[in-house]
Amino acid sequence: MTYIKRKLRLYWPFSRGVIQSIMSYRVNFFMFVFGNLMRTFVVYYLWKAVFISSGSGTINGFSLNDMIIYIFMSSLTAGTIATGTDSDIGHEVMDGSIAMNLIKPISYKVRMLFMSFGSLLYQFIFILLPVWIGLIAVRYFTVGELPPDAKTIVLYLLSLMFGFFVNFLMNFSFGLLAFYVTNMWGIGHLKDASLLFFSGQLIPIAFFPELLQKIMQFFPFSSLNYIPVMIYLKKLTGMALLQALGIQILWIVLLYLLSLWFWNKATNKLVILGG
Amino acid sequence: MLKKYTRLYMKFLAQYLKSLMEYKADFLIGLFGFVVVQATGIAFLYLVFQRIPSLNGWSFNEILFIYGFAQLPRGLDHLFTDNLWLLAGRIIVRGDFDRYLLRPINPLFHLLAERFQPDAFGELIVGIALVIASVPKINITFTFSNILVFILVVICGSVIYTSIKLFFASFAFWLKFSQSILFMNYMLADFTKYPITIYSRWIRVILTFIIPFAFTAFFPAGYFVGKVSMSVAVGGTVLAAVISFAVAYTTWILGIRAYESAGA
Repeated sequence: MTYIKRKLRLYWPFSRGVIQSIMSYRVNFFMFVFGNLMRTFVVYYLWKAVFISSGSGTINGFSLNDMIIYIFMSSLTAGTIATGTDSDIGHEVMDGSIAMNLIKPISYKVRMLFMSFGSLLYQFIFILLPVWIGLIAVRYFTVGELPPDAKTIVLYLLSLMFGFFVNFLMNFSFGLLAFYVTNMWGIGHLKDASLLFFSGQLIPIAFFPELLQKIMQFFPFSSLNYIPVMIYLKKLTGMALLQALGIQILWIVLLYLLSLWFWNKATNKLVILGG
Repeated sequence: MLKKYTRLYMKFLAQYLKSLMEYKADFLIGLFGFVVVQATGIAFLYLVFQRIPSLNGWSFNEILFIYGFAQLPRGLDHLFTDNLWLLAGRIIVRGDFDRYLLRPINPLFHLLAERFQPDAFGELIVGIALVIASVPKINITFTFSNILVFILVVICGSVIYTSIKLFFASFAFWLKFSQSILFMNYMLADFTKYPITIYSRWIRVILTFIIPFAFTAFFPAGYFVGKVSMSVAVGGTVLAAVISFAVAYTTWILGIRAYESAGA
């Protein structure tokens, strides 16, 4: 216990630092958030038109109401678990400050994790909570829809935490690409676009062609925002729910091992360059 | 005058291409990135249209045409004026703007000429491919005059893009950093890849009269599909381009006048 406490005391300032830096640029931060929300609205209107044009009440088991919640919760969940780990590592590699950070008597990986905790906490309190409350209120007053029960919310939050770790580990490995590539902006763009699609933010993974769904089982994308949101919508219950959480945990373990391997490889390369 | 600027632009471009040759892999990654962004959008449309015959009265191919058309002005603007993002994000914050004022050329020209963004070919390639693929499947007859109109509206559309970027980037003269404002407004362009008739009234009003992105895609592309009248599509687009450029350039001039170097 004291060990954990000591570690927490050691690394917590990194979380706090991230929160403070977002706070001091909060107007800009929220404008970026709002810009991204714009895309969510585009997708929302598209789906609305799709449901009106289709004439049937449900498509692939989704009613229009399901779809509205799905679209907004996907975007919210993805925005909450987002971390800047890849660009942080990228910048440190670019300006060379990673060398100084590597020789400090703290773990680089744990430091990155705590920095991500900071953004998770901030995004949870200042994006997820207020927008979620707004969504619940709008849904209640327009269609009389009630929020899901407490158990569903707890399971959603648990799955969101798993999604956060999956995202962190992915971003961490991704950031290490900066050791090999200079156009991190271009490659980040590529990553964001693929994630937007394959994590099901535009269209639920259940709508993908069967072959693509099968292929997607070998990638961690559904463990990010898709599983938590499907839990939130109660489309995953009983065994399917446990299985989904199991898949998330499996991806955390696999990506952890992958990131360790990649980290050793990348930092070895750095030593050669610096030598 | 024009000759001098063309020659200068070529010189800037040559410098840029030299650095591009150094970083070929980066160029390909950026290009591929933008192609993938567009490809996911098309995949989305394709999957959606598996379920419905038409969206709000628009067939799949008509929507592909708008979608593809939307990439052309966007890509052209992206290719030539990417430095506006840096103006909004760091050129003024770091006090680097002074040197644009010290040269005997138009500072806006200098700023834009300095950066050429080949990532934009990703958008242009996808846009051209979609337009070519969708045109034979919809009722469009391309006569000589129609092609001229097409070129005219694409150019006006890029001018609208550039003007919107220039307008918000110029805020940096007062705010030092305006990239977030610029980003927020640039994201509005996402709405115009689809028929704007699917949106609520206030969104349509904003996209038509305030931040006129609707004239970069929906109105002109709708004209070729036969859903928007010529006067709105062509007249409106030209008018929107002229007005937005006038507003943006005035803001830029006022900004330079208000500019105080952030340098030490």
